[in-house]
Amino acid sequence: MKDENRKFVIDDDEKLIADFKAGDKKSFNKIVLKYQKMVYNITRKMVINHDDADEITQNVFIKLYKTLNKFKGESKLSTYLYRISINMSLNYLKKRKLIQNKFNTSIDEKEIFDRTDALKKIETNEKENFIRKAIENLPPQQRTVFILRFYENLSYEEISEILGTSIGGLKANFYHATKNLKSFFENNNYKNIF
Amino acid sequence: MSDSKNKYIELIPDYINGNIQDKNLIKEIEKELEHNKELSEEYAKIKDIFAKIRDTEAFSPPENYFNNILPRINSKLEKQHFSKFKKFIFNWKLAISFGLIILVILLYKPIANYFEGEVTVKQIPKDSNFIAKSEYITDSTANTKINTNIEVNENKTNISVQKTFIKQINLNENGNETVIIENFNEEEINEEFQDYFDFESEFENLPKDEQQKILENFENLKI
Repeated sequence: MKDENRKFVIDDDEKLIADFKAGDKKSFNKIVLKYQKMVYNITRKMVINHDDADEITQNVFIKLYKTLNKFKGESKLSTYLYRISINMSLNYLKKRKLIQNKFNTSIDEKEIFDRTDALKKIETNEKENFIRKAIENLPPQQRTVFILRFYENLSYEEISEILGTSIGGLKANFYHATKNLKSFFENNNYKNIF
Repeated sequence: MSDSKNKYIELIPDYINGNIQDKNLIKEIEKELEHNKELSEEYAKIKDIFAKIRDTEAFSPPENYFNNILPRINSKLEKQHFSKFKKFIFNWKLAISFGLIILVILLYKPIANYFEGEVTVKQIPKDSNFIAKSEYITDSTANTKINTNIEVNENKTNISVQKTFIKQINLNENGNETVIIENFNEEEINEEFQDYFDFESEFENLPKDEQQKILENFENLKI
């Protein structure tokens, strides 16, 4: 993004936040419309399942609504939203893992895709399932970095600001995520599918 | 794995995505790719995988999904706000109810006394030094506190009566005495109590057995 455009976006966000703090709740609606795709894309790739991503997306904006008055503007609004989205998604993944461990159940690959039965009519494509499985297979931290770097195309500095992790650690995470994806693809005969 | 492959292998994903800004580094990587077969094979595989991932829309939402997120978010916010409001009102109602209950408990007796005009009679347990001791508390309508002590000493030879504002002493169902009070002036008091004062001197002149009888009567009256 060019610096001029970035400045416009930043100013635009600042105005929306200022209006919200002044009591104009409609500015919150504008923020939702502006960032809903970004938030959904992040959460969907983190938790894979659409219904869960939908729930988390709504909760992200609800949390934003409750905390926006205290937002000091030390980071960009998008960074703040990324942070909330990632944290909520990671918490969800932890809870899911706890439930799996506690009740000795496993949400296996079949179950993951059974839970998206509502979308089966639309998304029965084997390639899509394969990609979702591959991303699902990544550990949470690697998944997070891979999504932010590969899909969102953020710099390591931006990712570091979101996650609070060192740039060196992020580079290692991205490399290992790539390595794991490669292993998954090769071990599952991806060339038969793609 | 060779050392040169190690050095550049971690950079391959960013190189493939076009994320490396350092032109000198890009040249280094490209030079290495030309000469290092292992590295170039790794590069080809990762490039192919990245292309497959990018070309596949694996995480698309349902159609028109983004048209109805905002209304649902606002609906949730309204419910939460209303639920907070309801909780706030409920807590206040609860607090007020408790407050009223406590107030009623505290004010019940005074109010009851005010409206019913009952006289409270206290019964003091018998003490070994006295045959009987009674204390009367005023009727709230008169709003005058009195104290009546009828004491008999341990030898039961003497009886003393303190002055009180007593108009009439009645026995109620339980055998307790109730006192009807009026405000007397000093002369009236003396007149009213003359009987008591006379009684005191007369009592002393009575034979012992008669005195005993009277004292027993006092006991029975729970005075």
